[in-house]
Amino acid sequence: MKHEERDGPRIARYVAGRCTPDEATETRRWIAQDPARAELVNALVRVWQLVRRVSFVWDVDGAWRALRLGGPQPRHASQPPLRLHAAAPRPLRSRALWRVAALVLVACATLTGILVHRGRRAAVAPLREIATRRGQRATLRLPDGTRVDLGVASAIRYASAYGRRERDVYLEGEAYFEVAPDPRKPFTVHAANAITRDRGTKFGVRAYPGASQVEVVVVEGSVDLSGLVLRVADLGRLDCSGRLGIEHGVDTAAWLGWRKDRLVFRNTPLRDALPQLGRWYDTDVQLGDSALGDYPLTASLRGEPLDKVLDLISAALNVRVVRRGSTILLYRRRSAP
Amino acid sequence: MADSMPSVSCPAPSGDVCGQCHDIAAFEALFRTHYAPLCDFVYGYVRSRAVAQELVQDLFLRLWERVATPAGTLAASYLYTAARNRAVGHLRRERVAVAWVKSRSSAARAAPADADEPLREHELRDALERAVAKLPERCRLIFTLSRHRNLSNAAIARMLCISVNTVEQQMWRALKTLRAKLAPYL
Repeated sequence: MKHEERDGPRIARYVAGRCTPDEATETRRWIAQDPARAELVNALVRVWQLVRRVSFVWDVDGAWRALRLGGPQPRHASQPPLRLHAAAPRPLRSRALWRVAALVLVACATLTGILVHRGRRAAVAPLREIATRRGQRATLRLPDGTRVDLGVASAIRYASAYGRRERDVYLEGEAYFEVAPDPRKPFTVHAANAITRDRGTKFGVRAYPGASQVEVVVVEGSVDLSGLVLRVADLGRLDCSGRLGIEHGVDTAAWLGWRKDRLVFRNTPLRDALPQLGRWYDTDVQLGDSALGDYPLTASLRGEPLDKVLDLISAALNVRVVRRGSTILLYRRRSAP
Repeated sequence: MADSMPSVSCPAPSGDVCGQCHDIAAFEALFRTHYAPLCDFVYGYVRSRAVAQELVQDLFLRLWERVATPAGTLAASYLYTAARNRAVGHLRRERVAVAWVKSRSSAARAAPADADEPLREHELRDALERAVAKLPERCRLIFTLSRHRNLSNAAIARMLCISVNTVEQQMWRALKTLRAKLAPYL
């Protein structure tokens, strides 16, 4: 490409979805002028999507807690912080220097490496992790008997010491919990910025990365969502800026329809519904036109093939479905409805 | 090694900089901002989740213990340089260990293959990881911040104290390189 210096960054912005809507429209027009550009951009979009497969979820909360920085003066704290590195490496190294034997140095360094490595392994209890792929779900029981139904493309983590002193789990994605009662050890779900403490038994949490909010729905008993008490048939929301909201009398069966193979949308804005469709059908459905994002979708799907679902959406919302490589894009229809 | 790295300071806005690391809240903010990106970055070298987590964890621990001068400002670039040094140091030790104790660590390096995972999927993931890992360092860091951590170009620029234009040029470079490397899978 000739004007790579100038066009490259723009293409990159477009592929990564970092354009303003106006710039995206203009870029699409620019792409349409030349089949070679379209081919290039399609390949790059494919690259962008593929790379998501090797994106990891790192347990920031767990890692922070494992650091155990007790207070402002960690060295003099009454409880010494849990240490990953043994004090061994330094004395070993200085002794090796004393001897000045290169071979010994190498041997010590090696040993130190192995010791430090082993020490760390033992000190940090790894989190157990159960994760589902796109299109896949799972049911599991935690050591205390709590049942967890894990939705598509979701992950749950918990310490190997789960249940001994506390019952904390870390969720990314969607899950339904039936918590085994134990008043002495509250059950806590950490998801994005939300902390949900169980005070009853059955509830669902939805916290997909990239979503604008965490949602919690209560089926039985009551839970505490970051300070807000939710009761049966309440839907609590916590957005990324920390604002809490509550909706009473929601249809919990519909909300948890995913447990019964039903994908249910109730006036869900398309921008939220499409990622979920993608997770169910292991595909990429995107807005070709950001103005469509607010269109509310209402649908109850049960194993329909993707093509049929797209037909349905296309008819219901009067949108055009365009396949571009492995991506499916939705556009507004030109003609008035 | 990381301990001898000079600390680089840059006039980044608060949140990116831990000015007074005896302030646990500031340290926690620093940790929460950089932990996941650092894990991504270190994974690119060591290709083991467990090792990446350990190295990053240890980096923060040393930092907490070492940064006694409240006036010292810590830039993100310091963190990433230190993380790189740790990763490289780990690989070096591992190589020596392999020579020392035959194939001792080969099991640890083996990809955690899922028995059910179709070969093709496994192969693809491996190719993706390799292709990303082979990007030039800075290019890879910028690309993973954008792709895995979903940061805007402006946020990345602020974090690394570089211009948005540099971020965009590097993003373009990353995409172009990956496309060439992954051609058989597209």
